[in-house]
Amino acid sequence: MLLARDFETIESMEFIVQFSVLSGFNSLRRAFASDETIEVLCSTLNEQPDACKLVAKRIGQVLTKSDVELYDESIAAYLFCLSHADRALALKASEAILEAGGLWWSVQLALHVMNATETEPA
Amino acid sequence: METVGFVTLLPFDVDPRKPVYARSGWEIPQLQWSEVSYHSVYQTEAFVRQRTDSLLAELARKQKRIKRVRSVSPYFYNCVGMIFANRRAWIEIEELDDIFRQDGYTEITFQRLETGDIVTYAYERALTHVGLVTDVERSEGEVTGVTVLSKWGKDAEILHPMGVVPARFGIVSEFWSEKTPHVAR
Repeated sequence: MLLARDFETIESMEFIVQFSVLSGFNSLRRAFASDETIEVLCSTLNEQPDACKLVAKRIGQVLTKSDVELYDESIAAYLFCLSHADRALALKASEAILEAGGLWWSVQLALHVMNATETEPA
Repeated sequence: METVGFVTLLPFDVDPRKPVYARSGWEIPQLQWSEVSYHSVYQTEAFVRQRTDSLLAELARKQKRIKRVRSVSPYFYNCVGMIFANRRAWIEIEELDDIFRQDGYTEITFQRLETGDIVTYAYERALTHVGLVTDVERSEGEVTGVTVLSKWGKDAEILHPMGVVPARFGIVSEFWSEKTPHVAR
């Protein structure tokens, strides 16, 4: 299934702890920008616009998990990729993240996406 | 404001955090309350434990071993907040250069490093992390080992050899100190 393997990787603990140890929002964005898994997902989203909908849907699914707090870095990674490929969907996902609350990096990234200019990705 | 027993429930729009000041009187910036108010100033302790266990297993696979986990506090503070705000605040790593200046720290060489000094880490020249030196081993005057206490982002506070850190921290970058040496008369 399209993106299933990416989702599995991004929601793995191995992926999450690479970013949960960071101490600044800009450090997080730099780390995302240089991460191979995220780079691949960003490329996929830019090449296959339909994949953006799947990522937006996945954010919604993860947000409903009872242990959603554990997937903060995964959701932030999805939003980071989405913001580089489809601003409208990124804005919708940001609203959903803020509505859900309870997250650290994802909330900061969602606010950044909502406050960014139309051409500026996260 | 509602009081239940001994617990006072604050309205959601009231920021419970307090300002943190440098020695110069400069207020060290913290995240805007609008960025933090979407969650509690606490996270779930079980998740801190879970991430920490996973992180340590990952390091062990690379033959990197920490000394011990000091704390898995669920309160939101980071490496900068651990050292410069007594574990009371999350202070973005970008503030570190200003904090050193406003608190009167000076950069020192590796060979002058002593307990109580500060070590910084950088990834591709961008500051990523800061730790407190808790022990310096010397042999024939040369530094042979350094132990550091530092808070790893949202995760645990860890006592570790200076070089044993997550890959995203990059490499040891600088050493800083603030002290007036005592000279016995």
